Amino acid sequence: MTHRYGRFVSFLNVPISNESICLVDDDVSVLRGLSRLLRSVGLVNQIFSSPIQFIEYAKSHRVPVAVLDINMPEMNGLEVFKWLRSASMNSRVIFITGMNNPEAQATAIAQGAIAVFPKPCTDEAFLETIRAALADSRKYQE
Amino acid sequence: MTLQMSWVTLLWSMNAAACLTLAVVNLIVWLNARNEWGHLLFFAAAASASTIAILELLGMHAGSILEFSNLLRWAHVPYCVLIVSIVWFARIFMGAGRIWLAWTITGLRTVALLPNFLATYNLNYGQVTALKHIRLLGEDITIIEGKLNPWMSLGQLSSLLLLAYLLDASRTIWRRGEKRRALFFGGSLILFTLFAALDVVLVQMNVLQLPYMVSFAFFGIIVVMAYELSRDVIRASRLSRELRATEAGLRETQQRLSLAADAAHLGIWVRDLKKDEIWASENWRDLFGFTHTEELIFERILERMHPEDRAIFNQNFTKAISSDGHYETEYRLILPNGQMRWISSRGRVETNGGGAPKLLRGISVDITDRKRAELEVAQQRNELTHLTRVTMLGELSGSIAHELNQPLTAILCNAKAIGHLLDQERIDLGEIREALKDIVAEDKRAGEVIHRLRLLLTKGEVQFQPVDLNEIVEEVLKLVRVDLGRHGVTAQTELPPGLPKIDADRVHLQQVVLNLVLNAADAMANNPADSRALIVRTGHLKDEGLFLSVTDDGIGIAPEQLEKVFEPFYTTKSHGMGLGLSVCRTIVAAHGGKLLATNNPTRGATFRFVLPFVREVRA
Repeated sequence: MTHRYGRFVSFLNVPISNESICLVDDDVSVLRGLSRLLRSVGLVNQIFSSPIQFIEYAKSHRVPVAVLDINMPEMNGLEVFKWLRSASMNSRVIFITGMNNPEAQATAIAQGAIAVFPKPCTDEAFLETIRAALADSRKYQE
Repeated sequence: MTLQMSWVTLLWSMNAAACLTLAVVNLIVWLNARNEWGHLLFFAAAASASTIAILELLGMHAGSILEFSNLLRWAHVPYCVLIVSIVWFARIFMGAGRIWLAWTITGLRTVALLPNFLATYNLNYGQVTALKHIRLLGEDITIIEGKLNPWMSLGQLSSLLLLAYLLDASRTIWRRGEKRRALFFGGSLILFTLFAALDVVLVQMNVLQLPYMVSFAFFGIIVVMAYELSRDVIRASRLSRELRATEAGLRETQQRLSLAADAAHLGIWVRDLKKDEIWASENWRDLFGFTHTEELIFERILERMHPEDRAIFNQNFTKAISSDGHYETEYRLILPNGQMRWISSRGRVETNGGGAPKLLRGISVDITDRKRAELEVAQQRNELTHLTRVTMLGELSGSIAHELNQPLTAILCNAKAIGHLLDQERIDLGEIREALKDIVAEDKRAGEVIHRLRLLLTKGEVQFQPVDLNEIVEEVLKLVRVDLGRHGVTAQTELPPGLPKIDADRVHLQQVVLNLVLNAADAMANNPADSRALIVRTGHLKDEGLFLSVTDDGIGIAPEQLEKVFEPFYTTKSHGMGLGLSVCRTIVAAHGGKLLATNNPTRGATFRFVLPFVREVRA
């Protein structure tokens, strides 16, 4: 176990190979930045620039936490969320959005999303929410 | 012999006098116009007729057989001249009759003079037996009796040929469409010739106990010929009168034209390339700032031209020589006092046979006011275009924020990550370096977004440069993608790769595409969520140009509104001024194309335009 995965992961002592946080955004630059930020605080993650690819992945892997961008050309975040629920995945979902769209945000929350963060979402609250979601997901699994 | 004044003498003398008068008149005419051969022939004919009349009169008063016979012998000379003159008059003046017949008659008549002078008496009589006295119109006159000369058949043959010749000539004149002339000229001549021939035959055969009266037949012929000639004279004088009238009209027209040219402030000029001379009207000199007496030299005129316009001027001029010779050009003048003046000049290049330019003529007119107005209109149009563009971008604030937010998010993530990485016990420099690299790249990306926006937001001059149409479409779609997504609209593209670049104003084209895409999205606002797709297509139309179309799946446009949508202030939206499409059409027109709307066969509408490779330069 390298320090890269952080205290949290080592503390929980769970295998991380199939327990990654999934980041889904069509903007690769944003994905790379988010991924690096999460890694820097020890949060293991997988990145997907296409919602379709993510769904393929989710079919065969457990997704404890998914961070979804709302506006994506192929399939928007809300639709991905809908699929996750329909497939009765017990994933905790956090939305991020680059647009001020209260309607979509309200829908997301109403459908059971943990939170919606407007970009740029880099503050401690964002990271904390992810950590909490991850913990919650593990607790649920246990 | 006493010359009694009686009817016979009177009639024959008058005949002779009349013919002589006509002959002299026509001789004078011919002397003054030597190429009018009709008059000379007429003179010969009339003089001969006059002579024959005199000889006939003398014959009537002949004292002996010999005297009479000699008079008759000599009468054949004018007779021959008369026949030949008639023949050639018909040939030359009337333009009818067969040439070989004309020569045959001339030959026969001339040959007939030989036996006439070689015979004991004359061509008519081989032997004269008696001199007889008869009374005619109360006067005693002489006639003769005798045996006919067999050579006389030569004369009769020529008379027959003359009849045939005249018949044929009349037919030609008739066929030419001059029916009156054929009937009158031909008919009369034939009648009189017949009369003369009959007279001779009957008198000679003593059927008629009368003197020769051939001169009266000839008098008739002379009158007919005179009539034809005089008609010609009348026609000539009418023509000359008409010509004078036309000339006066031309002068009048010319004066009116130059008046109009002055009133319209047109400067007229002519440049003789051979003599290297330039002439110009006073108006032109005023326009170009030359005094009315100054010598005009081409180089000095060229100097007055705006330096930027000289090349175009020369180009147009060269093009005119190589094509149809017409040229049209607009340029600026800088007058000696520093004032600028716009001139429109059009003219024609005249070339010599070899195609080298010889002479140039043209008009120049001051179009400064028009140019100023055009410039103002263009400026206002540009402002309006800018205004609508800015308004449209205002509607896109969400998209724009998103466009900027993305790189900013990435930058912030990387910066925060670096902060965390630095906090760790073992600092991962490789990861930090990667993060910094990403920050730089994202900063650049944000800068590009701002640059693009600034281009769209600033009010610049129209700039034509080679652009990639597909690139323009992609940039616009990138800008509106988020906004479209928010309305559930997806944008599809059919952009064939490898389109040639085309001269266009990048910003203005982006504005058009943006406007069309946003309209398409609006048109589908009430569609079910899964059928809100718009398609942007581009393509290459062989030699013509590139096309671009935006197709929506919306409600379509009522057929009677298809043109109306381009009118200013036409709108179906609650927001917006209704200027978008009108401005789009103006932009496309400035690129030489036309923006058109059509309804799709199934649903929705398509807006399409073609950008021609060869852009008609708009004045």
